[in-house]
This record gives sequence, structure tokens and C-alpha cells, in this order.
Amino acid sequence: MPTYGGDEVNALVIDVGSTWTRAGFAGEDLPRALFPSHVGYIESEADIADIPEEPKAASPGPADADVEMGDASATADAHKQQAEGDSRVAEKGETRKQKIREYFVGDTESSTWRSGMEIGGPLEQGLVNDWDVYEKIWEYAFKSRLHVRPEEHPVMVSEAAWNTSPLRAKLVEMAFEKFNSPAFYVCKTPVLSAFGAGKHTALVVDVGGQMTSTCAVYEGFCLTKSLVKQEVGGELISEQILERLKEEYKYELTPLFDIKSKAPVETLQQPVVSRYGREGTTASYLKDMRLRAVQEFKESVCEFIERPYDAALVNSKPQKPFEFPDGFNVSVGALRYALPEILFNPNQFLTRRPKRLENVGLMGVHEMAVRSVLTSDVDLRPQLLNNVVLAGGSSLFPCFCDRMSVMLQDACPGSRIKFFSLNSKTERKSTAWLGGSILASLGTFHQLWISRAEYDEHGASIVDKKCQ
Amino acid sequence: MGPKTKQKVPGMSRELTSLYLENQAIPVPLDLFQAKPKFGSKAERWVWRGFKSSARGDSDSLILYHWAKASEQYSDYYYARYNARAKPCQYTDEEYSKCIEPLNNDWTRVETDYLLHLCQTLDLRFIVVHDRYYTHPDCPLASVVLDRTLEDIKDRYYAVCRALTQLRSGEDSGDPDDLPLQATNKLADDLALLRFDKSKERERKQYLEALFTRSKDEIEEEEILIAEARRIEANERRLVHEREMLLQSHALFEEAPSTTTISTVNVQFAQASEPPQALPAGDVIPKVRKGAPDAAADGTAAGGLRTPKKQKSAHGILAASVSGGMSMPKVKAASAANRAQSATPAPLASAKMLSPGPSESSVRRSASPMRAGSIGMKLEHGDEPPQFGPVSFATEEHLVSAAIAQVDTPDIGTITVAQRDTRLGPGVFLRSDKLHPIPKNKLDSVKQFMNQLSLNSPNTIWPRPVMSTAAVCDRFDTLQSTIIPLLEYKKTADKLETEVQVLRARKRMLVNSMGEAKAEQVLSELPPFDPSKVVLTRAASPTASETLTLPPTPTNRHHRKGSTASATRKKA
Repeated sequence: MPTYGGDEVNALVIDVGSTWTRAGFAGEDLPRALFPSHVGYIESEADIADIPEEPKAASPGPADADVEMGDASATADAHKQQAEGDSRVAEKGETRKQKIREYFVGDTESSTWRSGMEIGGPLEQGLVNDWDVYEKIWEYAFKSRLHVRPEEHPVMVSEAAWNTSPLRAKLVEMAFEKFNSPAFYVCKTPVLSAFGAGKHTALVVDVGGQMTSTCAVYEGFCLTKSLVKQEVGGELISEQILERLKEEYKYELTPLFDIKSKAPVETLQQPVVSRYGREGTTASYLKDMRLRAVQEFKESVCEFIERPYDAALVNSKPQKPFEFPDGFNVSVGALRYALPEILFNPNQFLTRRPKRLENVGLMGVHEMAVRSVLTSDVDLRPQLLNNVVLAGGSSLFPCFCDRMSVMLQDACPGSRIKFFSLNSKTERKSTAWLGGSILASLGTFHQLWISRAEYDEHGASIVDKKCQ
Repeated sequence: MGPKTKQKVPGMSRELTSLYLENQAIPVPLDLFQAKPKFGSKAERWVWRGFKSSARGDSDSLILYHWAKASEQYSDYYYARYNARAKPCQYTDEEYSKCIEPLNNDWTRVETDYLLHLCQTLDLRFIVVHDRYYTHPDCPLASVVLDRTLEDIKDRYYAVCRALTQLRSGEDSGDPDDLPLQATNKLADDLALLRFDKSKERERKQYLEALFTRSKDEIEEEEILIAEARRIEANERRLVHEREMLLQSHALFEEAPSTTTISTVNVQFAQASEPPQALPAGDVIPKVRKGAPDAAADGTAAGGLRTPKKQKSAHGILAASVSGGMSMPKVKAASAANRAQSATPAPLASAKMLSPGPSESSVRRSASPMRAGSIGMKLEHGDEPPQFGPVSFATEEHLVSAAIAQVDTPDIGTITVAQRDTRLGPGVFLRSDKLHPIPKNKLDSVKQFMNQLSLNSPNTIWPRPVMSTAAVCDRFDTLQSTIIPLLEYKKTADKLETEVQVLRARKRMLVNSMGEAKAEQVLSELPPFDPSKVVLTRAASPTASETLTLPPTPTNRHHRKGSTASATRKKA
């Protein structure tokens, strides 16, 4: 048994990110389930609504929800039942009317067009904002994707490094109350990312969908003082791409769901598309679909140059052609370098700031990393710079690692800087999950689980004591 | 898999044929193939078994499940043994009031308790303790002093530990002064481990901080400086090496004769403008020529002066010339016959001083003859480099006495400067180190010889005198340099002896086969013995006797006879 310190107890590992959710069994090298965290939902009112409890705007026309159920999978059915269950509770209470939501989780489920379907993620700034969505994601991952009964498996969850105590308490409550987990553990994402790269002490640079964060990890402890985060990530770049396309080519992307037929057009000509003109398409759905379409553009065209941004050099680089789903095609030159440059130089390259980022001082990723290093103890700094771990999907831009290395070396000229980042795309995206998988399959880890008995005895506050 | 009829293609190997013809069966060694794997034993049973870990604490009843071999049974969870935790010191109320309270700090009891609690939960990871100090859920915020640095925390922890260790060790025996020595040592060790100097630590971190925040330019400059230093170092090494080469080339022809008599060389050279230590190795290309005429020619060319020629003795009298820049050196060598003169070399040197050097200062030195050429002498003269006029090297026969250079300067007078032996390098050395080294291939035999003379050497590698006074060293060196040629003679003698014996045996054989009477007759017909011829044949063969004038020993005589005999036999 004692080989490599591993001991499988069939733990589940789930890492809900702002764009992607990764779930799987501990001890495996890749998550079994990798699906978008954005979840579609259709809101309907169970009874005549007097006072809408949630401040969200009521979505129009829930009438054809049942029609859509036809092609929705069993998951959606389960959600429906769940939702109905909730509504029954509401009816029992009789005090107020509740909105019920029907959820559509999963890659195909959430991207299928349904009238009045909104799309939203569970997280805001890396913290759980919508617990219902969060719960639905768990349920979908465990029941529909991993096909397990969560009450039989210990659960390891990742959380943002800046997670708050009340949210953690809620998380542990959810795990024990709703999913009846026998054991539970929550670990901070940077720590898991470091473990995923095989390091216990590292400087973790996590460039995710919503957030970019850098954090020093020391012997498996995330140093909270060194944490630097900002709301700049892959999604922001995608949004910027849409903006720039509109600005430069007067082009507005038509997502795939609305395209009935298309005709080939010359480069830079407006697309010739006949649309379905679907009624009841919500703004959030449209935006999400557009972002997904532009995601491909981002992944295949955008890249970094190895040196600090230099307009002349960038202009001399070859252009890359790209065709959008609606037929619009363009050869992108300098733009493909300027767009991701937001990560390193947000103040200069973020041309149109979204509302949430107005009047916010932004930093480049390398500046954040340097700040993280500078806030940690001087004895620790060489160790950190020697173990820089890159994680998150947005760190997958070509040349990102080289650029980061150049910028960091520039900022800390006397230090030896070494990067440890997983090279394959899926691994980089799910570095934190991998760390969780490694951690939860270690024989020595099993003493750390929060057991059901402990939870019953101490309540949700035990999570702060046990998961530091 | 029925075997196919083999089509044999003539003139083609089987392998090639099988590649060429697709349907040909590829030969597979059949004996490696097993139709059915054989398993020695039944497969082990694995069971899905629940386990409890003692590392989780006794109160907890969490049962996790894993696959385990049915045969294996553990009393405790296997990995529970790795549950090692740091044990930070703990104190009782009494101990606190007794030894920690008087520590006179701004730390309250509550905060100290909290600190130790953190140290325990975080396994003494001070960096994490410092990081979580104000955010930990157990933090008694009201009674915690703000802005504790990492050093403050460490300092307090170690102060508490020190105080407790001291107190407890005192308690054991009642009085700390009564402790047995061993215990005192242990206590001192323990305290040393717990020592923490906050100001030192701060200072260290400041230095580190400064090192970390160096700018790019500073680092570049530093790198350039380091590279420069390396270059200088390398140059210096090369300089020393070249100088050594130069000196070796001088010493070469002085060392050549290893005879018992020691030549005394009187070297004079004049340096017109530069002090000798400023001689750059690259600029001065030493010209060392054997024989006086060249040196004389140089001298003539430079100053129209002639060096008096001296004929060589058996050891060779050398005249070396060092020319370079404006220097106009003349090297005069004196034969062994001049030894008496060289003991007081000054008059001789000045009498023969032919250099037109403007300075009056002269350097006189006595040095060993082997190293008479140590021109690269290091003469330090403070700020004002003295002008060197002609420098005369007077070499005494006294081999190993401290070489001293006397420099006459106009204002200060005569300065005595110890003349360093270049072979020995800088620094202190033993007089016995100045002994001439024995060639490695002769080392063993010399040692053996010395053993036979019951001379015991304190040094096992090189024979060295026990008491190396100047006189002893001198005698020792003389002995050494006598032994070496003696051994040479012996070797040659032995060789010749065997040769003679072989030839004699051959002669006997030939005589026997020929019949004694006939042999007599042949011998009598031989031409009479001609020694000159023999010498000629001998000279052609490269032996040690070539360089040595062999005294007419009996062996030699034998040998001559032998060689003639062999020559005659061959003719016959």
C-alpha cells in the first residue's frame, strides 16, 4: 500500500471557476468533467408575484419552457423538479410568492437557445454570489457528469484566496446539509495551483476568466498579505475584442444560434447573414454567446511578443486571418498583440473601460507579481521567484510565459527567476483542480478532512479552524 | 497459422526475401511465446475497507474507505505515523509569572498565549504566523499590539523559550550552579539553539533588502567589476607563469650539470630606466643564449662594450642576456675558480661595471647559483622607486642561506631586502624547502641510499634533514647532489657488467663450438687492440657515460675487452 504516499479514498474534487468548472475524482490526472460555469436559467413565477424577493428583473415570457424541455436532458428535468420543490415550499409558507428558476447546466444545455433564458455565473470577483447556481453546478457535476452519489464521497473544493469567512461557512453548510458529504475540505486556489505544479512554496500567478491574482504560497499556506488581485481577465479581453471589432470594422458579431444561413464575403466586408430573429433572446444570453464566439478568435489569433510592447515591432509581425462564424473575415495585425496586452499594461491598452473598472488603478500582471514578492519576507523572495507557477486559462496566450519572464526579470534584475507551469492546455486550465486531485489522494491528507461529526459538533465555524 | 511453402530465392537472405515477398512468414522465435500465461499463485484479494486514522484525534469517528489487500491488516492507519507536529514550548501560570513576566516586554499574557497558540497550530512556520497574526479567527484583537514584525514575533517566541529552558533546567537540580558539567553543557547548547538577536536579524534583512532592490545598472556595474577582477586575477596568474617560465629558462643551463662542484655565477645587469619590479612580462622578451659570444655581441650592439669572455668549465659558464626596452644587460659569469672572489663580490662587480647607467644605486645580492637568474625580484621601495644602476648578483657557494639583496639608495643608505626564491612563491617557507629537488625518477633510489647511510628523514616524501640549520642544509644538499651522479655511475656500471657477462658467455660458447685450438688461432690473427676505435663506437651509443667522463674503472676495461671481443666474433 505505501507507494508514493498515495491512498485513494474516492474523493471528489471540484473547482468552480468564473468561466469553467472542473470536477473529477481525486488521484486522476485530469478532471472528468470540464464545463462552463455559466448556467442558463429561466425564471418564472410560481404564483402571482406581489413583491419580487430578488431584485433581478423579471424575464419575459416563460411560456415555452415546457416546449424546450423536450430536448433538455434528464438533468434539466431534475432541476425542474427541484425548482418545483422550492415552489411548493413557498406555497406551504403562503406568506410570499417566490420566483422559481429552471436551470440549464452544462456546455450544450447552457448554450442551447431558449426563449427568455438568462445566463449567469455563480461567481463575482471570484466569490460565490449566486448560491443557487453554485449548487446547481455541484449537482450537475456530481450527478450528471461523474454519476456518483455525493453522500458517499469526501469532497474537496477550491475557493478564492480572498474568500470570506461567512462564504466559507455557507460552503461547508451546503456540502454537509445539501449534499450530505461524509467529509469535506476547502483549500485556497493558489495553494492548489502550487501543488498542481508540484511545489509547496511558490509564487502563483493565476490569470483566470474574471480575475487575475498573484499570491505567495509558503509551505502550503497562502500568504494573505501577499495577495494581489484585480478584475482583469480573459473575459475582459473578450469584451474588449468585441468593442474593438465594433470600433474598427463597424462589425457586430452574430452568434451561431441566430444564423440561419450565411454567404461568403470578401475580407473586411460586412457579413451576409440571414437570421432566425429569435424572439425572447435575453441580453445576457446574447452576450455570452458572443463571448464564446470571440473566445475562439482570442485563442487562435491573439498572442504576446516576448519583449515589452513595441508598436514598430508589432506592426512588422505577420498578420493572421480569421473568419467569424457569420462569415466576416479579417486579417489581424497589430491588434492581435494589442488586445492581450491589457494583461500587462491595462492602463494604456484598456481603451474602453467597463463601468466596474472606472476610476480603478490597474496593474500589469508582472507588477502584481512583483508586489506579491515585495510584500513577502525578504528571506522568502528568492524562493518565490525561483518557483513561479502560472495557472489559469488566460495564461495560455502564446509567449505569455516568456513575456512574463522578461518583465519579471526586468523588475527584479538581481534574482534568478524560474517558471513552473504545466504546458498542456487542459492542465494549465485546471492546474488548481490537479493540485486538489493530488492533495486529496495523499495518504497523509486524510487526517485533515472535516468530518460530518466535527461539523455537527462545532458547526460551520470549524472550516476556519481546519482549513487555513 | 499454417506454415506456408517457402519460396527460396537464390542469392537472397531470408530476411530480405521476407521483406520482398509480402506473404512470407516473418521468423519469430517460438520458444518465447506462451499460449497461456502461468500464474504462480492465486491473485491477491483486495477489499474495499473502511479505516480510521489515529492522526485525526480520538474523538473523531470519520471512517474513510479505500482498497486494501485482504491479507494486510494494520492496527492503525498507515499514514498516521507521518503525523508529526512541532512542539512549541508551553508554560504554566506559575512559570509565566516566574520567568516570562519579568522579561520586560510590551507583550501581554494574552498576546503571548495567542502567539504560542499560533505557533502550535501553524507548526512554527513564523512566516505564516506573521501573515495570519491579525486575521486568524482566534485573534484577541483587543489585546494585540499592532504592527508586530516577523522579528518581533520570533524574538518573543525565542525569549520565552530561553526563559523556560533556563528555569526548567534550574528546577531540576534546585540551583543552576549545582548542575553537573554535562547538564550545563546541554543547557548551553539548548540556549544557543534558542538564541535570537533581533537587531542582527533586522540588519541582515536590511542588507538582503538592499541586495534585492539593486537596480539594473548597479547589477551590471557589479558584474563588470567582477569580470574585471577575474581578468586581473587571470592576468596575474599568467604573469606569474610567464615569469616562472622565464626564470626556468635561465635556470635551465645552470641546473644541467649535477656535479658535486658548484659553479658560482656572478651576474651583472644594468637597468637604465625602469625599476625591475615594473618589468612587464609581455614587453621583455628574454633572450637567453648559451655561450658568451652572443651576450658579448648584444653588449656590443647596445653600448659598444665587450663583456670579457670566459671559457666554460665542465659545468658551463653562462652568460645570459636580457634585453628589452632601453635596458642593456650584461651578464658575467665567473667560474668555480672565482669562488673566492665572489664571496666579496662588490669590488669585483664595481670594477667590472661597464654599464653607463646614470644611477649610483646598485643592488648586490647573494643567491643560490641555480636561481641566480631570479631577475623578477620584488623590491619595494615605498613611494620613490630607486633608480637602479648596475645590479650585480653575487652567488655564494652557500646554497641555502637566506638570499639577501642589498640596495644602495642615495638618501636612505643601504637597504637589505630579502631575496625571494621564485620557486617557493610568496609567504613563509622552510629553509629545507630551498634544497634542490631530486628528480622524481631518482627519488626512490636516493631515499634508499640515504637510508643506508642511516639518515632518517622527517619527511616521507622528500628527504629532508632533521635539523635544517643553514650548515646542515648546505651539507645535505651537497650530499644529495653527490648521491645522484653516484647512482648514475652505479647504474651504468651495473649495465655494463651484465653486458660483459653476456659477451663472455657467448665467447665461451663460440670457443667451445670452434675448438680451443682454433679459437686461439683466430684470436691471434686479430688486429691489435685500438682504444680510439672503441671510444668512437661507445660515443655513438647514448648512455650516461657520454656526458660523464668515466674514470678508467675495471668495469670499463672489461667492457672494452668485451666489445672488441664481440666485434671480432661477429666478424668471424
